[in-house]
Amino acid sequence: MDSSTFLKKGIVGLVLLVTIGLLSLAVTFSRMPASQIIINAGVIRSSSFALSFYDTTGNLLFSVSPQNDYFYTNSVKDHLEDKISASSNGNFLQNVWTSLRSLVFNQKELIWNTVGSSANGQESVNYTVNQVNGGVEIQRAVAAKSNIKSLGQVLQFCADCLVTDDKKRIYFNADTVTQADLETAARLSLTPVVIGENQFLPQDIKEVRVIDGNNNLKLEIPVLKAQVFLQYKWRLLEFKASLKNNGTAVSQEVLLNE
Amino acid sequence: MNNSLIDLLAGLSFYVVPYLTGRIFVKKTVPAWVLGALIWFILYFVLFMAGSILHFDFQSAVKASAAVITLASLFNIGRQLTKERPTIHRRDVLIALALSLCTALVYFLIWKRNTPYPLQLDWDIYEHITLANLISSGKLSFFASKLSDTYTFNSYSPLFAILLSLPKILFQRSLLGVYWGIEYWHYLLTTLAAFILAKKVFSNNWLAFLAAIVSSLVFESVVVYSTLFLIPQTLAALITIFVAAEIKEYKWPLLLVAGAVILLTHYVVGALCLLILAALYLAVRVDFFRKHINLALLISGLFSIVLIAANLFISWSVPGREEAAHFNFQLLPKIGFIVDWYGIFLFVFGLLGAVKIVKSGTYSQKILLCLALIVLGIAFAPFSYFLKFYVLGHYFWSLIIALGIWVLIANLSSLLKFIGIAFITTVLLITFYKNQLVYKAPLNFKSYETQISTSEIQAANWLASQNKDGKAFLVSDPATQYILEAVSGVNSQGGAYMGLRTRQTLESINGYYDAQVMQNKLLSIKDQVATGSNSRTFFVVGGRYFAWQLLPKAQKDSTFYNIWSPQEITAADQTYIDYYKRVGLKVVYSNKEMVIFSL
Repeated sequence: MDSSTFLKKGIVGLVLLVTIGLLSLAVTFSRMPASQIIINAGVIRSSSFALSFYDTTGNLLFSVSPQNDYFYTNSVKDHLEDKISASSNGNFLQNVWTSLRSLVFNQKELIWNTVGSSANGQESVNYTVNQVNGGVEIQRAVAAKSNIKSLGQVLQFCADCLVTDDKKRIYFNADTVTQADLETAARLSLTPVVIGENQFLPQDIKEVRVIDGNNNLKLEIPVLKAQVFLQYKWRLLEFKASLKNNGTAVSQEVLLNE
Repeated sequence: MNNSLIDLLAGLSFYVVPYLTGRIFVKKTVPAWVLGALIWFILYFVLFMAGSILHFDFQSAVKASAAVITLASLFNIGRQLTKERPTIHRRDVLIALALSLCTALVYFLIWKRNTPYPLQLDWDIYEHITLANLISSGKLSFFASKLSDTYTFNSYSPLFAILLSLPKILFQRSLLGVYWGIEYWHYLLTTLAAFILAKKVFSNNWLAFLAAIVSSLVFESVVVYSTLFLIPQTLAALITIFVAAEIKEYKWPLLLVAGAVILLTHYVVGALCLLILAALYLAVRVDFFRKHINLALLISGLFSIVLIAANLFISWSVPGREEAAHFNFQLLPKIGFIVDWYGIFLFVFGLLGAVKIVKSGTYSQKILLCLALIVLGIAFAPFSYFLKFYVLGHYFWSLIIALGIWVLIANLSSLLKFIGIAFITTVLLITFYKNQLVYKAPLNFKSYETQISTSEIQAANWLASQNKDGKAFLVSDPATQYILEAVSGVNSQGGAYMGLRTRQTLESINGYYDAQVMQNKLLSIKDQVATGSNSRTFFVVGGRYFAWQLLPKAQKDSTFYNIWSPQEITAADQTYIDYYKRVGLKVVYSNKEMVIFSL
């Protein structure tokens, strides 16, 4: 073999090697489980009906679902999806990219796309969860063509948890509050506030906090230009906010106690 | 000295003591270890029987034997070294150092990064620790199932546990910590085995080094576990590879000893290992095979294709074993496993290497391909547990993949060759990283990845302190029992392989409101092997116990489902615990994850 053929063969071999290697990496990344991410403060999993956030010991902190979230048009308030007909965790390229970012830059992202039916017709909602310092940022995006003005971002918080704020107030609904609730408030040295389900939490709140019965902090949700509702019997907290990003998305930060 | 370092060194005795023993009779390293392992296996039975007649302390006898043998062997080695003055090849030392460094980086910085000493990632070790603890305390039988009801059938002799008991007896260390380090030595040895076999087959240092890299960065994270887990099946395969690499130099008696040790290490995987060694021995010694090697290749290829294709038509599970059905995978999941372990390297470079061997391979390379195809076919046949057999395939295919890569870089200059190998190593490293990340994801607990927590170890240590007479007994969910029995030495009914009756008894007390009835039910649980009366019975509850109680009944009745990672006690669990206290169960120990009641 003359030297130029030898060299050409070698270069072709190297190019093939690199191509196969890159292809192998793409296939590897595409098989990264896309339905779960592990962050410093816990684990986030998507299922066919919800995005669930667990703490480091495996206890459910809260969940998010288009069946709980609301949309607001000029005249209607209703759930984003009454029934979820399909869900996915992004396409091949998105999976490769998110896996790569996770492995190389430790930037954790979970994509959960849902399609379902609602009073507004067929609706698709794309959830993107990113790890941020101390917790997660949850972005909800709806189709641009829809006439939605605002979204009610709903968290279904943990069983036996309580809703408080940065002003040492604890919230209950008028139709469900009991003597035991008031005793709990007294035991935790918090001021009980009883509100209706369609009534906002006070406007001076900077943070909504979710605690357990022993006053251990579970979640902190900074409140910026959002109106907050509480449905205690379903353990739902709704944060109503206007759509951003050319009217398609809203974001919410939830700080998790590590 | 820090505990992890002490245990890392203590773990070496698993390899060094048998080696020194065999070294008195045989000079070569692997035959010496194999012979030494068999000697210790026999010696334990001799000491056990003599002890039962003469009533001496078993541990002291083992220690004294080890001391005498070690001194005699070291004296013998010293004498030989001064007489023969062997030369040390600098290149061999450099290669060994490079492989040690690479494997140490992968093991300690990636695999054990979030699993600090002595936390663990290998679920199987606890039953081996339990058996080794029993043997250390002077109990011995050829059948593991007669020593502990954790063993419901005997798929191996106590040889592995006997070797494992050496660090425990000689250094009086807990085997949990020893295991943290011992698995590194196993990992290093698997890499060396791949290197040595590749060197024999290809006679090329670069290629052998590449094969070692492929071997060290491919972890079969389901059923097989060749490299990172030290368990009987992986040890049997490792010994087989070391023997196979030098089979030409083995004489019959030594080959029989090696065969016996491999079979005693694991009856099922060992049987395949023996068949492979027998085939290799015949292929090397009998001319008939040399003449018909291409036909053998064709038959091996067809054999492999037929067995893999059979997945499309049949599926067979071991009857009467519920667990077996869970270890019988369909073809697509099996292909998925390969992608998780190798990326596309097995499909592309494996094929390229195989083609290269068929076209222009040497006789030994063709034998390698025959064996690789046979093992691949068997491992991927549609039968439950057969994937285990890939533990041998790991080595063969690492070599063939390395050859496939070599085909593409052989014509390059040394610099470009180095760049090519560095690139492939990076790709394999990322594949390994992702693979181990997925394996460890369900084991995430607080900031660690582990199957056992510090609180569980503390509870086990407390239990051990209550078991001076060796008659204490514990009852909990299967996973908690399995872990605590291994670490504390306190007996339980079946560990993770708890009998159905015990499972039903535990199910029946869930939500029960009469302390006396609960206590009676729990006290009715008895070990199926150790039939003597228990001095104290402990009821251990924790996050795992309550999580197990929340499983559907079918899963609670199954040995396949366990709570694999530690769990903290939740507020709801605490309500139960408070209730147990109120109705009169006595708390004798508690921490964040466990509460122990004395019955």
